Amino acid sequence: MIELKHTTKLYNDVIGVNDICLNLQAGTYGLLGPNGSGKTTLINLILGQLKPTIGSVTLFGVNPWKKSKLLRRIGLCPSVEINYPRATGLEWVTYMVQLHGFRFIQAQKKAKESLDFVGLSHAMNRPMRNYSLGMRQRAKIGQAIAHNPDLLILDEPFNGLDPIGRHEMSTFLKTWASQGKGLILASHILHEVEAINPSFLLISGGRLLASGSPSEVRNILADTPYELTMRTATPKQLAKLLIEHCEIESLKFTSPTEILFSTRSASQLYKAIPKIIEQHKISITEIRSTDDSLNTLFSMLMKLHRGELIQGGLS
Amino acid sequence: MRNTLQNALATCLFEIRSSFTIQRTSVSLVLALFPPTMLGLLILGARFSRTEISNSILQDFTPLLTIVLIGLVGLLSLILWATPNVSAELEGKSWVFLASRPGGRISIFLGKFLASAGVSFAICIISISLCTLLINTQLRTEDAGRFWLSLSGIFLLACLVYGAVFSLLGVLFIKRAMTFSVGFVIGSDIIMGSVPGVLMNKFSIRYHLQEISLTWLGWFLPSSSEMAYREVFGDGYAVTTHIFILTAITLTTLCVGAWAITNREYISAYEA
Repeated sequence: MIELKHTTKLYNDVIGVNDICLNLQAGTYGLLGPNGSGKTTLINLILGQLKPTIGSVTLFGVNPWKKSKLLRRIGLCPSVEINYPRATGLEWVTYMVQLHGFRFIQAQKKAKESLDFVGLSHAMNRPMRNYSLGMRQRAKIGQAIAHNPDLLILDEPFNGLDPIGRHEMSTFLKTWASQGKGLILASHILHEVEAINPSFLLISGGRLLASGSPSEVRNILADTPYELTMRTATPKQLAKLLIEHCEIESLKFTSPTEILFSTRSASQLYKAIPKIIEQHKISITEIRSTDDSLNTLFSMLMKLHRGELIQGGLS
Repeated sequence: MRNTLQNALATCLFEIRSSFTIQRTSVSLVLALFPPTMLGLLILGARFSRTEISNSILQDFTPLLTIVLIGLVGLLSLILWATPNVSAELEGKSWVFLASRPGGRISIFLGKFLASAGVSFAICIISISLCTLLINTQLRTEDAGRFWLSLSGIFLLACLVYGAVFSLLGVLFIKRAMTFSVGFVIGSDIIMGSVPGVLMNKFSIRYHLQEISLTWLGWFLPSSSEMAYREVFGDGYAVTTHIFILTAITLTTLCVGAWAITNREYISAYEA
């Protein structure tokens, strides 16, 4: 479906993506990376909106640069907001479908069907300035799927959605993926993408750091150092007990009542805490993670990439 | 080709529908009312002075003044509508939605060109109609119908050709398109178009429009005779030749713009 061979994109002296090699068959992919990691540049290279500085890109076996007919097979839902406050959802989606080469009547029919599919038919005749963030997100999905594309690319589709909206989006994406069509989901939040169960592409600093199945990524995560802060009245006793029961990499007393632990086995630590509380009657008033797992993962992958860490099972 | 035109028309209609906010409609109305208001004030001034000379000067200058005032608002409207064709989409972050469609880039270019030319021509038509009405009622000119029709034809050609040029400048110079458009008008039409007796002025758009105007409206340039003018600027071509040249400029400019917009990489605020 998509092939990138040593693809590099430079914006003058800034690197957008750096020497990426990929060969993606039809399927569901989660493109994960922190903000500014090169996800959008990669998507634009795949869509033929940008020309690689070095290397090549093929989409459905063709170089997509200036082959705009290929875009008929793609549905793109970018992360940006819709900027047509006066237009109604139906007008906008109809116009978007018209640009795929459909006549007005046909386009309007398809727009109505897709807005119905994303659950926006009740509000399709309202100006989009009156839409909530979730409704605008649905309208964006609607314009992406209305022409029945072979590959759907979504850039941060969960942005701004409330829990119900997130659940609905996950359900929709699972339904789409189950149809056997291509899906690329770009996000900087791991657990949102994980729910769709895709193959992962981990990108940071413009480089593809790792790729693989969810289990392979979980293995990587298992090796990631995990930091946890605990608040207790007896920090020294708690530290001694945790060192006895868990593999603690390091610890630091950050205040008279707070300890910062670093471990590679978070699950072991979480299992040990209730036992310690129960057996030794220690009171822990607060437990909090100091970093999010994906940032830690990316920082570890970057270190691996630079040779600062020894690799332990990456694909 | 049919798809391209169909998409361009869809873009034009969507653009006009979604852009007509109260502010933009007010700006267009102010532009449309500016020439008749100015003309009305001048006529009023001449009436108050009650001298034969002022009335005679007014009679001589009215057609030229009408053309200059309407030309000014027409150009201003075209600059406001045509030059931000790409930059507005990039800044509004809607570029990514449009450019990810087959032929989306050409549709943006042609659709916005049609919208800019259409809106500007509508402004010109309102101005022409009000000015013709004013001139006809106040100065009792002959053949107001012909005057209206001739001006409408001239400004239709002007909107198309200048709209195409400004659209091209919008594609080539995203950040300074308006400055370049004003520069083009000053450089090409005011400076180059005024150079007498050499081939250079024939390359300006103004020269061709002026020649068409002189044929359709009759001699309207004040304080000079046609013979003296021809001695300095040379003979014009047949009207059809001038129309053909302007059409060729429009089509060539549109082709270059369509080529440029499909061959350029645009980095939107979304990617930056």
